[in-house]
Amino acid sequence: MDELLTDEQRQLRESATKLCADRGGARRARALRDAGQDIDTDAWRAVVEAGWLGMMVPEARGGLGLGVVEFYIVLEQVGWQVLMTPLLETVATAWLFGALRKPPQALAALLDGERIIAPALDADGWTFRRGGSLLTRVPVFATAAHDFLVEADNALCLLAHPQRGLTLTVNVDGSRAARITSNDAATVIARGTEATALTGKLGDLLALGSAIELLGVCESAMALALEHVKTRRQFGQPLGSFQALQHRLADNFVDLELNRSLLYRICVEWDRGAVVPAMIAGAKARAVRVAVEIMRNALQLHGAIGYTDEHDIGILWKHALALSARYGNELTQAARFARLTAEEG
Amino acid sequence: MPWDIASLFSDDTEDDQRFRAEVRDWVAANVPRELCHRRERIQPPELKPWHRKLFERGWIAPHWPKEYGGMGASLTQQIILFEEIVRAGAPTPYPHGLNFIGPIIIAAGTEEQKKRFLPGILAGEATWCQGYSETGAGSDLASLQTRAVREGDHFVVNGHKMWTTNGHYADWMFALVRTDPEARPRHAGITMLLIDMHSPGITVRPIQTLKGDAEFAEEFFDDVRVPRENMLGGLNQGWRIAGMVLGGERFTTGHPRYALIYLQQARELAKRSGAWDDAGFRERLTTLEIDLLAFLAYYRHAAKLHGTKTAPLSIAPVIKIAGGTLAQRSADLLVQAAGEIGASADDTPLISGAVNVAAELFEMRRLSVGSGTTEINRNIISKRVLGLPDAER
Repeated sequence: MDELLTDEQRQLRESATKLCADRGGARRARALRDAGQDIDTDAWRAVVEAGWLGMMVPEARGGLGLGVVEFYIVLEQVGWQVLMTPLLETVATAWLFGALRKPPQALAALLDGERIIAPALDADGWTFRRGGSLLTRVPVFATAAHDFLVEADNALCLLAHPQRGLTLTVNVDGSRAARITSNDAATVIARGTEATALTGKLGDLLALGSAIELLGVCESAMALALEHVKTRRQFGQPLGSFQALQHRLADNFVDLELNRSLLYRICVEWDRGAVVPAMIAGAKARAVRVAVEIMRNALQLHGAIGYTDEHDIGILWKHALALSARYGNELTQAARFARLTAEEG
Repeated sequence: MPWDIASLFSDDTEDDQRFRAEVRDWVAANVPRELCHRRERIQPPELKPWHRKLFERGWIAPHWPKEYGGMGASLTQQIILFEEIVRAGAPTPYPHGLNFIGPIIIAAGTEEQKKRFLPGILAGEATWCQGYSETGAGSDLASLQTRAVREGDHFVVNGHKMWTTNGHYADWMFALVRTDPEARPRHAGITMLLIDMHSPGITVRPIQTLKGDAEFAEEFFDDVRVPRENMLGGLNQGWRIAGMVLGGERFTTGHPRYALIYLQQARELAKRSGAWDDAGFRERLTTLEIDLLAFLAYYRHAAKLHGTKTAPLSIAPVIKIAGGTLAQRSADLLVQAAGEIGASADDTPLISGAVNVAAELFEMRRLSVGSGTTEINRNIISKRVLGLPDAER
């Protein structure tokens, strides 16, 4: 993909690589997990300063007016370095706000990084009102978020973080999901067909973004595995000289190459206005399927050290697991792909 | 499908789109109907008139430079031509002359050789075959032993070539032969010869394939005299010369057409056999359709990079491994879709034409063996892309 980037995109990639490497890393993610934090506030400050949050908001509305291709470039690095910040959720929500006929006031605070809004929408209809109370699920940043973006009564609303009524789930990588029950009033930001259409696209963008982050985590795991087999020696040889292991790594490489091209291409199609939801469903499904293979092989190649909490490869797998589960896992997205591509008759 | 999978992710410019439309119309009007949607391999003699038509239209060698009778076309236009011929269900011309040896003669041949051989390749008058493999030299091609000894202005060739596609129809063979048995490394003692298959001393025996057709042949060389002027490139330069063959060729042999066709046929067949109602069938279909989507994205991406300085070395092996695996698994699924007639030796009629699922299943096995096995391609990725070490002694 590198070869097709413009000079500006290359520069963005360089700065994203540097920022994420400086601020992130598996060690950092482990420390946050151990400290019980679901957001890295230092890294978040750096992300905000880099000006990425409004990358997909039109310039007239205070953003940078860039496309999903640029988002891809940044997210891949975020995934690679396990950066525990709500970049995906914020850029996607800001994109939605910027696309509304009347952008909500919250947009400015969102772009400043002062207000964290976690989407609590689920394509399979987790969100509904029952007897006056709202029941929904937020897949990530359940503790760090100030507000939740929810869909209720055919409207898109902002619900202030309710201090009570949250059933938290702490994920293996330290990220936090929750089931939310609330009787609080939510602020409506869009209604009717506008709300429905944009909610669908937001779901697509989140699924796509999580697949791109997952690609980054896989690339990171692949790099660790390669480094390990080139240096670790057994039977008087580097592990990497054994053909059985070489061929598994070669297959991993082929799988990743295809995902890189598919995800990049979908971003290009999105920016052209030609993306089809089935493509995104297929891409997320495949990103998860490949991640399972890459992680399994990378861990296996590490031998016993891979089975420790001390080694980074385990953190990568845990983060991959969390990214796989949110915004549609392999089978959910594969079923969606099948539904969307089913022919009549 | 919510998209036209045949042209999905294509990067056609306006010129390309015009060209695509022009090709589509012309093919529809000119393709011989009796050659379309045939499940068996069409042998070179039957293909000649179609080759000739493409030649007369000026479209037979899109990738050759104009000065040699080609179109000097971009890879995109080559792919368009290929896709539109495939879309019509028509056969594409055999690649051995046009795609393998033709470009090598252009790159490494003498003026005399170009004048002598290129017109026949373009017009389809001469059928070519590739003489590389031997009984003892498959993946380890550099171990080949067919000998060529200089005697005055001739080489005298003795040996045995195998697994030669169209060997029994060929007028000419481009062969790798051993001219220096002592050379180390072994590939430094190999020369490329252009051998007239009608020469005295050549015995050709067809070999029936797993699919059931006579695609292959083996050739025995018994004191076959090859004039010195039929040496291509320098003495002992054959390995380097043969290396010029790969490139754009991967984009036609590796095109996702098989998977595309098989998965469509599998849908149709499954609805008839009842397999469509099985969750297992649907799940596997979905997995393969997603893989096809990903491979298509890779294929277009690679085509865009092909020929640029930054084109990664991994393109050819990735297309080979991913495309081959996908086509094979799609053929496997086609057999499942057929249910109890999955082992039938007969054709099964479909709306889109007849299909013989077992024949397709077997034919696809060639993809992971011919022109470099999957394992050799994995070695290339391991060593040259991932930088994994050789075994230490």
